[in-house]
Amino acid sequence: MTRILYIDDEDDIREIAELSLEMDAEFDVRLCASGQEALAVAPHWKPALILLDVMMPQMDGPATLATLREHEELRSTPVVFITARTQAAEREALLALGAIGLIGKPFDPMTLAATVRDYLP
Amino acid sequence: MPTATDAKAEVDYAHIAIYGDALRLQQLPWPFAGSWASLEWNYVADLLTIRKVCCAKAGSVMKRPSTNAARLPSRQVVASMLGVLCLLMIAQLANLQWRNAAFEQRLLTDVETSNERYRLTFRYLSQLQDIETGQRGFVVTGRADFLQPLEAARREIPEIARQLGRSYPAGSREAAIVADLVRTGQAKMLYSDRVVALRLRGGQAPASAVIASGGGKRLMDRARARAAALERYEKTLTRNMLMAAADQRTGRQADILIAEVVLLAVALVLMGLLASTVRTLHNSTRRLTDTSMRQSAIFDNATDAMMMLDEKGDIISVNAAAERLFGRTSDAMIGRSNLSLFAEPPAPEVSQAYLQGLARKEPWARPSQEFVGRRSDGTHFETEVVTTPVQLHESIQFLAVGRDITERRRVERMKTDFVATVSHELRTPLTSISGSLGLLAGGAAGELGAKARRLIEIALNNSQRLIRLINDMLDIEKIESGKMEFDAQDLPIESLLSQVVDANSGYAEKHQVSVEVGAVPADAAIVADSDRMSQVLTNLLSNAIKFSPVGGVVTLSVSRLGQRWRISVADRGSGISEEFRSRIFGKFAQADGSDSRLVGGSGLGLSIVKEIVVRSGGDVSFSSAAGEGSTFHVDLPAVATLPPVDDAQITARTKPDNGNRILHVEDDADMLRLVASALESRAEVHSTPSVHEARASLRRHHYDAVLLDIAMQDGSGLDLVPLIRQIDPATSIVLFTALDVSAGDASTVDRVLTKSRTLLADLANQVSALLDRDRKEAA
Repeated sequence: MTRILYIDDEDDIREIAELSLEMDAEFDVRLCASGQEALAVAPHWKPALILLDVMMPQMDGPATLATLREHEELRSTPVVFITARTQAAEREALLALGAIGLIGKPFDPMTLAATVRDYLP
Repeated sequence: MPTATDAKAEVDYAHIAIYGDALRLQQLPWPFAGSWASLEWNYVADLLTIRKVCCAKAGSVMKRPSTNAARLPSRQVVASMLGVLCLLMIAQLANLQWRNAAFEQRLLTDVETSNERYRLTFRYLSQLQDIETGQRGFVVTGRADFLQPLEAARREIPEIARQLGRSYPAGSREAAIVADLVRTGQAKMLYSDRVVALRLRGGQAPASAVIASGGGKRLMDRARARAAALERYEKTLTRNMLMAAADQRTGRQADILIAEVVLLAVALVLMGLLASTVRTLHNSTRRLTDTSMRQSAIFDNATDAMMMLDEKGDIISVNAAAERLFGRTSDAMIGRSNLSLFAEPPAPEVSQAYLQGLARKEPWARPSQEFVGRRSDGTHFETEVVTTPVQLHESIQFLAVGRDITERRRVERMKTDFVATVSHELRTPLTSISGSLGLLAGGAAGELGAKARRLIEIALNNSQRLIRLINDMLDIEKIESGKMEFDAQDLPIESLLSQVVDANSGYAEKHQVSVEVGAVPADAAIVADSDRMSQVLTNLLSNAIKFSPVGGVVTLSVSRLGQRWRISVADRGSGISEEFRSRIFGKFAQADGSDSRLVGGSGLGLSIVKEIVVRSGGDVSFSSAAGEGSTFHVDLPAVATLPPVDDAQITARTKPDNGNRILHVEDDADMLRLVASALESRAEVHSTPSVHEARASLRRHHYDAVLLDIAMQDGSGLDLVPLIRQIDPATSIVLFTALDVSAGDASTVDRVLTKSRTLLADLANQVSALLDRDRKEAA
């Protein structure tokens, strides 16, 4: 089973994402409502890929990524940002932080699992 | 100070034709003269740098403004000349007066002398007459007392005769008359002696007989005549002298009068000039004081912070607004360096170079700068400062005008955040809505009944429509507030069109419309942002598909229009009605919505298309007739075909085996040739003469190394560093410049080489070393 961690502060979106990702039978999906929660979960659970919302209160996506990377086990875990930002410069800036890809919001729930599968090594 | 001629001469001498013409080299003056073979490459680089500097100097010398202080000196010169003239006139006047007096004196003396002579003559005569009288008396009376006058006269006459003899110049007519008079006198005395002796001896009768013979009388007559002649001479002389003097006196007095009048006139002019100069000075002083007071008033009361800096950048004066802005008193600021006002001051050399650049109006020294200032309490604030040089007569100062832009930046950030926030806030619930509807429609929650599925489809379609509407609105807002970024690149049309057609193939299929793309010339390319162009063409294409009948065809074609390419999207739908034409590019414009299929867009699509195309430097237009379909045209600037082959732009030389490509950015054509020549065996060298063209080259090709000059006509080579790093961090960047480079700038590049110190062979070696190192790292 491939472990996918989804981090987003919006309850509804988390639920949809979970339903969406579970359409791929191989995926074991876990949800976190904030960067802090993710920091408590991720180092132990060691996901194969992290989907990270950008705009979150208190600790936003980039800050969460930076803190996650401080953990030895998560140094090389692939991270994909979920973002509504569409300006080319903003996207480049996000990629420059070390994410391997971006998924735009709103995402198509029917294809999310396949997109994530493509990001996996 | 070099004159324009000097500078030009230097320029002429320093010009070198690199490739050949050793003869011209031999014409260079010392110390550059010498044979071609003995010239080292670094001299060449030096000369090129000198030439640049000289050209700049020549330009600045010729543009140096002439000062207006010329008027006062000429007035001073005139006044001085008039003053000297006055003095001369006074001297002349004094001279004339003195000469006049001398003349009169001489006249008096001469007249006196003449009178003296005249009196002598008559004394002589009267002595003779005394003798005559005495003699006659004695002859008549025989009394001895009558002989006394004779004795007296006898004693006097010789002295008088002697004086008379000296009175006239020897050989003159008058001297001859005097001599004759004296002889006559002597004869008369002898005669008198004879007569007296006769009376003594013989008595009265023989003496009287002698007297009666008239000899004595004849002698006396003769003497009287001579005396009269002398008298006439003296009188004439005196009369002539007085007449001549009278004549000359008139002339002399006229001279004096004229001199006095001229002196008066000159003195008046001089005084007038002095008065006028004093008045001018007074006015100037008053105007200066007025101006000064006005300037002070402006300076002190301006709401913007103002400071005067000296040429070292130290603060000379500040206004009240500056005190408020920096939270310090003027005493605390005056005398300190302007760097003390920065939160993070740049190195002193950088600041100095910037001020010098400003003074010389170098293109890279931009007057407007933003930096973070520091108040005395340590708080920071953002400020925008515009610095201009002020050329005084003997020094240069700088006026810095600044304002606190913290608030402005905050509002801008808020606006940016607003767009981002709205974007996020609107899209978040929509994500949930369309997400759950999508899952439902996709069967993730199990099979749905037909009615349920239909209702969910309706909900899903509309939520997606809402999403498109929000995207469009945010796009419009971004475009209009200038926040939409247009990253212009060279965009090949063929790939753009095929990409857009692919992306819309599903949509076309759904509407049962086919899309055809006409022939596209292989080199057709436009200068535009690729994402934006995709957006534009997608919009037009989806419209065309939407408005095509089932089974219809949408055609895309490309044609050339002067300096632009025209991309046309044609459909065979129902066309655009007359009354809708004028509104078509407006916001929320939708034709009459009776056909439900026609309603479905946000009404903003064409408005966005127009905004994007116009801001990309192009035009959008359409042609249509009701019932005949519509064709939309987008005209966009074409990428210039191969740039004109110019001596300064040498594209590939023989391509070496290792396949390295180097970009050299430098505005001096000769230097470009030199370096290209030095490096040609080691890499393919692209030479560009400006920052602007370098950007274009960087987009077109990948470079293993980039050589940058710093000071160029249209900017600094350093401006390109971020772009190069962004394109490929592994590209080696070498600064090859005549200027000194700050430590900060040097740390952003891989190597700094100074033009005058680096032999070109050495340059080539260093660049090769960098390329080899890069290859090893990449492997």
